[in-house]
Amino acid sequence: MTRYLIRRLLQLIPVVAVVITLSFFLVRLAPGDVATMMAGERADPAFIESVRQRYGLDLPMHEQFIRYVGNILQGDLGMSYREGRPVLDVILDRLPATLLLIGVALVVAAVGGTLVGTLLGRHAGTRFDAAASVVAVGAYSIPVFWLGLMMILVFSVTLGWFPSSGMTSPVPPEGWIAQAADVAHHLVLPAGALATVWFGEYVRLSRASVSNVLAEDYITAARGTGYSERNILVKHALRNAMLPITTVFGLQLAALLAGAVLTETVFAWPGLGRLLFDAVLARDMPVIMGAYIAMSVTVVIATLLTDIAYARLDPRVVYR
Amino acid sequence: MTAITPQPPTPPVVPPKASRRGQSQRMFWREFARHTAARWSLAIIALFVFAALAADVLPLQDPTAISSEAYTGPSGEHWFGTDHLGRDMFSRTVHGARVAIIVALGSAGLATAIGIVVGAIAGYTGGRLDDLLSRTADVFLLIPVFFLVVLIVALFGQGLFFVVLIIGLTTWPQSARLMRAEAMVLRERVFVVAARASGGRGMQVLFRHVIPNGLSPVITNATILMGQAILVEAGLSFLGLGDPQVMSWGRMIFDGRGYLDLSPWMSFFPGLAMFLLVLSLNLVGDGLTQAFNPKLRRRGRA
Repeated sequence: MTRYLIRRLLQLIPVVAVVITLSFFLVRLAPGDVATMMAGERADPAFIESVRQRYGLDLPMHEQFIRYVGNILQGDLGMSYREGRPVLDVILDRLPATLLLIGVALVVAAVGGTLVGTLLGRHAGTRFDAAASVVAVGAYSIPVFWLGLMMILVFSVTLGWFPSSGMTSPVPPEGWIAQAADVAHHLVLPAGALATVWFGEYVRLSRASVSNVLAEDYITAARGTGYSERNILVKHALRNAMLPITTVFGLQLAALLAGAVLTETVFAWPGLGRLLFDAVLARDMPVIMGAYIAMSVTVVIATLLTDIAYARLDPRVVYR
Repeated sequence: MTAITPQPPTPPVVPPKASRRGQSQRMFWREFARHTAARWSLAIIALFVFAALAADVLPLQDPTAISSEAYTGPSGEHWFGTDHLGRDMFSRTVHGARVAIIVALGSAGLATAIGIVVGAIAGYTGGRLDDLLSRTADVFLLIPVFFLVVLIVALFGQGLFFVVLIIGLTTWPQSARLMRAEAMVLRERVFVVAARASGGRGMQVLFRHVIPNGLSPVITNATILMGQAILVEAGLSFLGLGDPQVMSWGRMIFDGRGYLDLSPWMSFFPGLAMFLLVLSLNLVGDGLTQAFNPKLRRRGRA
């Protein structure tokens, strides 16, 4: 197991290397002075000079690169000039809100989607299945930010059931139970929008997976031994169908994060997405670069964790 | 009247390849047409393509004409209402199809072309070159492309063609993977071995025999890439990184978000159009998958 882990960790190095190298050269290929870009267009010359000194932007290219990689490995992603704080701090501040949103939406979508998909896989080929599959494709074809706006229109503007933006009320209530309820109240719409889109993905995946597994010989054998249909579906089909569902989760994570960013922008959810949106507006380059690097590292680590989970779920995988 | 009836002429020997191809094409379309949703989707896509091509010729109001009739709801005169500047939303939505189609064809076309070439070379040659190309594709599959695109567009500018180029250049790995898997199987097939044995040069065999016979998964994937490209461009517009010079649905939704209470149709109709187009593309992808693998459906029935 340890050797497997080490080998998998080593495989991640090239990905991280490409991510960092890309960001380094992109910034230097872009029109304009790098120091000005890092300090902000309207920064005063003295500050631009101090940034140039600090990041060694007057050194030859290869020395700049070594310094850049060294800085990133030490967690120095530059300074956000919009907030006047290190980019890493800014990102870490916003991370919990994003994780909460993604986590809730993902659990809702995965559990609901897998249940519905299993049901469809059981009835693959029927009219009901065909119609429901179109609905599932429909769910993940919706532009998530548009869905968010429409949900605000219906549930906030028209019905007034849920707040349209933010994570807490302007004046948070007393006591932690009331505060948690307040956050949950704010969470319903953004998590609902994200979960709807992801739900379609999980329905599709689990449907395909379950209908494939149900065609296997061991299912026929289980039927022959007289197990109940429900027992077969839950114990034999679903368990095996979980494997592809787990793998694809890792592969989809990058796309999921993009959806989360757009959703946060719609609902002014104080997470990474909102941060990225504000950074784009202000052309706060260090933050945009930092978000790209942080997201890439997150996806890479999540993929590793998925692989490990996969290996645990499937006893046939040999750790080598 | 009984004895000698002229024998019917023996049917001419049709070149087997041509006839088989015609037959398999008919079977393909029959299989595709079985997918009701895909059939309808094809019609919807055709409608959007028509809108994109004919937007300037159709008797529409000027999509850029500013008038005093701002925030009016859908009516006989303005089917989709007007926006905050009094522009006709129906005309704008129809014109928006143009950007969507350009993005879909440009980005997905580029990504598919790169994917086919990279994947076919990797799968067909194998060895070290395959290792290098596959690793590169794997890295790009892992990187959250949306954030990379945001960074590039923020650094280099947000012109439409540049955005199309960048989306195309970052979304090819899935196609490459699919093509590589096909090429690895085709490499060992008798007709490819024969083509090689009869003196076909590497590139010639690759482009004449391997690629044309391994296209089906890549084509299916291309329809899905088209939908994704439209969503990515719209997402960029929604972050304020769209091309301000063009009328894109993403931009219209972005503009409309501040007027949800006054004029919700500003973002409703462009979003609905985008949803319909992306949905249709995905369903056509489903139909193609089924048409390329008729066994899938039959097994589903069993």
